Amino acid sequence: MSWRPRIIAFFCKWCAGSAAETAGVMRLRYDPNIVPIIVPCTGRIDPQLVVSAFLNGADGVLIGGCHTPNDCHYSSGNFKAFKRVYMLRKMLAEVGVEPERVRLEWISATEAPKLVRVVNEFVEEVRRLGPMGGSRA
Amino acid sequence: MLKLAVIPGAICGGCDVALASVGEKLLDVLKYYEIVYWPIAIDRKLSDLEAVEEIDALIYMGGVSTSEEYELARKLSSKSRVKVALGTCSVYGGIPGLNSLSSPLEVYKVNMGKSDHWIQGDSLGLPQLIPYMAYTDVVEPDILAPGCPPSGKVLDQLLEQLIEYAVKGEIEHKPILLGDPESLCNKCPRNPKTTKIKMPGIYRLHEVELDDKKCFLEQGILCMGPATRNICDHSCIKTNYPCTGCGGPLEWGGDSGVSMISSIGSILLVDSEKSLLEPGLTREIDKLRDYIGTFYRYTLRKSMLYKLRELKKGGLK
Repeated sequence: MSWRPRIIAFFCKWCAGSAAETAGVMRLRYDPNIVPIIVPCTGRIDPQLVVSAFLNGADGVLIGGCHTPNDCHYSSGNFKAFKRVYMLRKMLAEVGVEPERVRLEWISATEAPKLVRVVNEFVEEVRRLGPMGGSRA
Repeated sequence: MLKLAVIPGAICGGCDVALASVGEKLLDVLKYYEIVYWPIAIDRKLSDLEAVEEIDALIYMGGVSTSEEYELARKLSSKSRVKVALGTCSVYGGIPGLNSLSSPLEVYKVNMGKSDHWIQGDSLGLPQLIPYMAYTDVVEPDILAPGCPPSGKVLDQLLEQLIEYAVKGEIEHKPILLGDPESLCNKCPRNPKTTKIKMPGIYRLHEVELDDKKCFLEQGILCMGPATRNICDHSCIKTNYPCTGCGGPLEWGGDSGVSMISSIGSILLVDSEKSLLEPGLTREIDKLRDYIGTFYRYTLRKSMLYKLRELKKGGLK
């Protein structure tokens, strides 16, 4: 059986999460390899959750939040996410894990086509990087 | 009399000296225990220890970096009733745990330059360098006493536990992680006045004139306090030096590095995020060099990131 990337997507409830719903209403198709998890705000996403996702079998983690500077429902959660993801990616690179496996995107509630594009692009990227665990088929 | 053995593994000597300098309190332990082996304190040979059939309490200090230490740690632990990992190297891998990112040969080359005395196989019967491990990677100890070196507080707790074992004959709630189950910030003497800490940027120690009453993070100095267990009652912080995280994460199985980047994410330049935007924040964060050496200085060997690296290499299932 050919390998299919497993991707965890953390979407914030107000922007990327709503965009995912809009995409459903608009009948847009995107790769079924992602498992979306809706969180109240991207500022809630502890880097520990991202690393746990990898340790539990994810090959990539996508995080979708509100546009900066002023879209965040809680004022500045998206900046917190930005700083954390930026540092986490640097850290991953230092231990030899491709930082491209973590992607942060700003997607507003109306940007369903952008969500579809980002998901498809990311799935393709992770497919190119290969499975996270070296030997797993 | 119960038998107590203190074994130094790959050690700098700090833990040994710290334990010896507990002083008179050791005498209380000696009411119950007889020391069968402790190179710094008594004159016994390793062969004497190997002749002992059962050890009641074994204190292992330092990491495991040669084949000899590995065999010793395994053999002695298998005949010990209570196993104690003393010191951060033994519990979390410590600073030598950073070796885990390189192979033994690479480590050897860094230390020995171009010397070609690297010996493959044991033709001379010498111990071999093996991939570095913490003592907790070799066996599951009953008592974990972190600290670099362990503070008086941790050592007092350790001696209490040993006496309790001698009296009761068993240890409850294993493994016991010594120290207080709270972060250093919880009772920090610098006690930030503001409820919301703002980190004004990231600076190195020589770039700012340190105020010895004010929170380090509020002055832009990285302090591992938020992600470090209180094992020391702020001994570094009280001498105006930021915490470097030798106590390890708050709980056994926790992870200090990712917790720390999470907390920096919440406080770094919080008041000017909207004017700096992503490029400005990136510029400030880029002042951080060597993430692993900063955030996992002592705990890399037992961290999530190390597990992730092993997973990536195909070492974990």
